[in-house]
Amino acid sequence: MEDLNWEEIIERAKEGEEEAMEKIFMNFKDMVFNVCYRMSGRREDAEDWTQETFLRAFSALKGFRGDSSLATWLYRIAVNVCLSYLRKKKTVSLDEVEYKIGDERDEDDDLVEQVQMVLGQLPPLYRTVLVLRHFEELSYEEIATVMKTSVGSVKIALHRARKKFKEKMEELNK
Amino acid sequence: MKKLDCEKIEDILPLYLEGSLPEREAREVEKHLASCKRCFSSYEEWRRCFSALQSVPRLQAPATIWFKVKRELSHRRERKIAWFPALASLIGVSLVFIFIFLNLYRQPKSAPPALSQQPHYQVNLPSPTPPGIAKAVPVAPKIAKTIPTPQAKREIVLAKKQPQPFSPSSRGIPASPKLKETIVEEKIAERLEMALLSAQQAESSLERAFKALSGETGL
Repeated sequence: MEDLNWEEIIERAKEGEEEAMEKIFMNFKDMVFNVCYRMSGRREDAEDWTQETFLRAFSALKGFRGDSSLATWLYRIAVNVCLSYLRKKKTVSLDEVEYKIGDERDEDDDLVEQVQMVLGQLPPLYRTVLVLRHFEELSYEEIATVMKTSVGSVKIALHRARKKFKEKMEELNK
Repeated sequence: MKKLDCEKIEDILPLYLEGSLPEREAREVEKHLASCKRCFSSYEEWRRCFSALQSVPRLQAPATIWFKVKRELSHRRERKIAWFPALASLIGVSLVFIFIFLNLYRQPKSAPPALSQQPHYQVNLPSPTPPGIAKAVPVAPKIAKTIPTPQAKREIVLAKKQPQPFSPSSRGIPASPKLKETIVEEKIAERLEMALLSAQQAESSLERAFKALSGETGL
């Protein structure tokens, strides 16, 4: 990846320079999209939520002081966007889960589908900690920063989320 | 370290699997798992869950999202600019109306004494303008001077101020209360008309200013 001076890019984006905004988008789009996809379970929703995340981020960029990294800041916005949509939505059903539609399916596909379905049945907060820890591989400290909470609370939430996830997976494979 | 029981093992198995247990504690877990079938089967379950979570591939976001983001950002910018001239026109028109109404409220109080001061027995000489209206005449040109109106519209307004051929006061007949009311109403109508013209002019000048501004910014 080209060596980017992020401080300069952020400053230029703050002044409304489109090229700088595009650089930020291109660099972080997959990260945001994956969080949104794992939280929603639907590609269409993930695209909309990713769009909403970047719109919110660019609108609020002037308030970004650099206390945390740009990635952490974007994770926080993405999580807030996902949680606000999920509050309005019920759990994800099996019919809603989309994965490699039309492709030849194998055991891995089934497993991924199961994971996505179980995630969809978890409360949004449990889903968030699992996604951030297991898919995004953030540290407890980073998750605490993203979720604006303490490391202790993250550990408790993650422990409960994992237990719930395991229960649901066992139920599914009985 | 105390020997770990099964309940404790169940709790710390996820931490053991993600490698966040201190080494000494991790060794204790391994020892326990080697000797406890129940905990070992629980460990297997946890391991399956972890590998299931790890099996989820990362996806690529479609680049088309950027175009949607870009379009929405420019819409938002346009909306932000669009409300400015509307607000400016609103403030301008409101100021004009406030000015006009302040004048209207002041005027009816001073106008009636001009009529009442004239004794009823006095025979008024025919004058070009009725006495009540005569006082109001300087006000209208004042507005017209500060905010120039189109010539045609000014003529209409001024024509209304010309003495009426059969006006009672022009023939020296004392002004009755009804006549006073009529005169005041006429004056109000005049002021309103002037106000409307001024408001229209203010609006058109704001529009011109906005167009000039839009031309400069290239919007």
